[in-house]
Amino acid sequence: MFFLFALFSVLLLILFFVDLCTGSVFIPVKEVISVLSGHKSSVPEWHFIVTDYRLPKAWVALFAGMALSVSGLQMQTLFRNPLAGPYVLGIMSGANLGVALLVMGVSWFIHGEYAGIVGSFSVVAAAWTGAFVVLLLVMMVSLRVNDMMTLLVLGMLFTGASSAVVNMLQYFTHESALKTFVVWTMGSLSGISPDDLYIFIPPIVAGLFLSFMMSQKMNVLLLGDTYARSMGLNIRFIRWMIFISTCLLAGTVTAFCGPIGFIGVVVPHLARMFFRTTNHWILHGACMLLGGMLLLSGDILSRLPGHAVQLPVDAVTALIGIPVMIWIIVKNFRFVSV
Amino acid sequence: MNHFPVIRTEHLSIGYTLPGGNDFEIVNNIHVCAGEGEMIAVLGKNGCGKSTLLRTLAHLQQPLGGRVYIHEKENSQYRLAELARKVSFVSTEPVRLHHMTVYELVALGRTPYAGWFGFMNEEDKQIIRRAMEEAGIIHLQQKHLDELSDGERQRAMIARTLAQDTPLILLDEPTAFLDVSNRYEIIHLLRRLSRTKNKTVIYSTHELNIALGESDQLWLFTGKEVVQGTPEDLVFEGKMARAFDSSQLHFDLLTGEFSGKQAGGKSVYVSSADRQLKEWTKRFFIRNGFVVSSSAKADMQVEVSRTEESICWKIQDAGREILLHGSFSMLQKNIKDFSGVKN
Repeated sequence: MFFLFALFSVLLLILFFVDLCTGSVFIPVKEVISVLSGHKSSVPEWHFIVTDYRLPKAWVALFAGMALSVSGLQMQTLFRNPLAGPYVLGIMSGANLGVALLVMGVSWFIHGEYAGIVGSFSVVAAAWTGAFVVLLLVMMVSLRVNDMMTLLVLGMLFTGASSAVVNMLQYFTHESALKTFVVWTMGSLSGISPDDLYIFIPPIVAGLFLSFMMSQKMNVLLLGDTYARSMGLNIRFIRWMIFISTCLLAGTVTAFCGPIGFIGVVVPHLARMFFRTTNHWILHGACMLLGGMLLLSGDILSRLPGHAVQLPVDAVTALIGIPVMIWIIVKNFRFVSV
Repeated sequence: MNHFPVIRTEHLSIGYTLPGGNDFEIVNNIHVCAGEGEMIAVLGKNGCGKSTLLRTLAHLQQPLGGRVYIHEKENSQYRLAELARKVSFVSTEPVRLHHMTVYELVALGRTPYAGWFGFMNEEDKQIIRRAMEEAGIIHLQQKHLDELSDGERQRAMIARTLAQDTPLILLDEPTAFLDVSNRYEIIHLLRRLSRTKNKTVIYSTHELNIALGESDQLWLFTGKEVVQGTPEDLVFEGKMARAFDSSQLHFDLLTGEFSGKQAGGKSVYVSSADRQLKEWTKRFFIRNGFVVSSSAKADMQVEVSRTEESICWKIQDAGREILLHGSFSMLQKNIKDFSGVKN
């Protein structure tokens, strides 16, 4: 187990560094190292690319990967369902709706000028608001409905309703606003400035910390509500803590990067398969390492060297993650379960 | 020995609150109690409220009325962790966690004693070890739950309640998914715990044999009420028969078993010098739709005897006498001539 942790940590560091070295502009490895160690690069643009573009992006990939994986782990444990992911509560659709209302709603009133209004920060705020409103709704429902399966179905219904509203908006909206929205829904790790990192990282760190603190409770929760209660757990309090943590994690990532769905479902399974445990102290660490690794690899592969073109990171992670997952399942012949 | 009951109920009414605020009451006015070291079986038909009662006792569900006292304090007055040190619970739904080890599962039982982070000190680890030894699964501690048999998994669940170290253990149908030998092993394990560790064990079951043979007291759901008593009293007072009797079933006072009633069955009188043979011949006729009579004036008389090679049945039916030699399967082949149903 310690060997696996050490191995994954080293791999994570390597991937982080490789991520800094790859991109549409070729920068020699030596130059990247010198920029990182605080020296001036021989080409000023290179210095700028590494510090203002690649480094923030690598941080975003790392933290988004960790956040989505841990959030997926939380939802799978909470719902005791191997298909659950960061978005089962409807947080993504809330964020979606928020952004759609902003981008397409504004375009109705202000013609031509909306491009400036929907700058990155207002999109972030809209997505955050949407996610938060959904969280409040879920918490209110969970006061009345005690059954988690019902909550799961309600989350699904809410997702359906909000995507219906988004579809309506798309139908009646201007072309350019529509494109802004569609590009956002594809998910992207770029477009975050070094200053944005100060807003991006703290909520995620808070969410991860909160989740870590719930590790032992989540171990008990795996046995189901009846057992958890009979062992003296305050289920409602724990659920709410997990809701808040997931909203911080998935909400923040969605707000800045758009919906990146796949890795949140898959990484917890990878973690369980590699470490063969249900102990959340270990699974949390494993999810963070594997999640960071997977999204960094996705980011590395989504940039074709020598081209300015960038593929949607969600699609790339799915394309590398699914074969890995299938290979592990077939090789170990293990059941997929929480 | 302490004479206060470990658990008792007063005017307890169990059931559910339906959406809309109406109460759906299953049984009311339940007065039952259990003392230290007692083993109690909760018996009743499907859907009579056995699980609901157990869940209400464990405070996993609110009563519709009345009170539950655990160590003379109302169960709703305990703090959650405090109650979890008094009552442990094993539910019917099997835990299917493939990646959890037996040790991890049993260690979860220490939750009410551990701090927020669940770190275990030496004493906790000792208790966990001892719990696994008691339940006979110490050799399985590093196995994952998907590698266990149903019986072993149930033992692990019981070890978890031992790690929880509660005077009272409630189990909802602990033998439901097990084969016969595992059923008895689990029940004997519980029995041993109640005897040697002075635990109060309350379990619900459908197995009449187990309940009658392995419990100090029964809590019997008769439909409208719950009656408490020793198994023998409940049988002799006819309460057992009344709780389960229906047009299809007949409770046999002699064997403590139920047998199917078949309306219009021909009566048969079986006699033999060999008690074993007599008993199995009776069973054979019951299985084939006859009613076994204890009087020789039955519709049909059968006399059984055994020689070294075969069994011999002498059957007198409506004036004719027939001799059959061989095995029971031979008798089965010819039984149609004496159809159990009267024409």
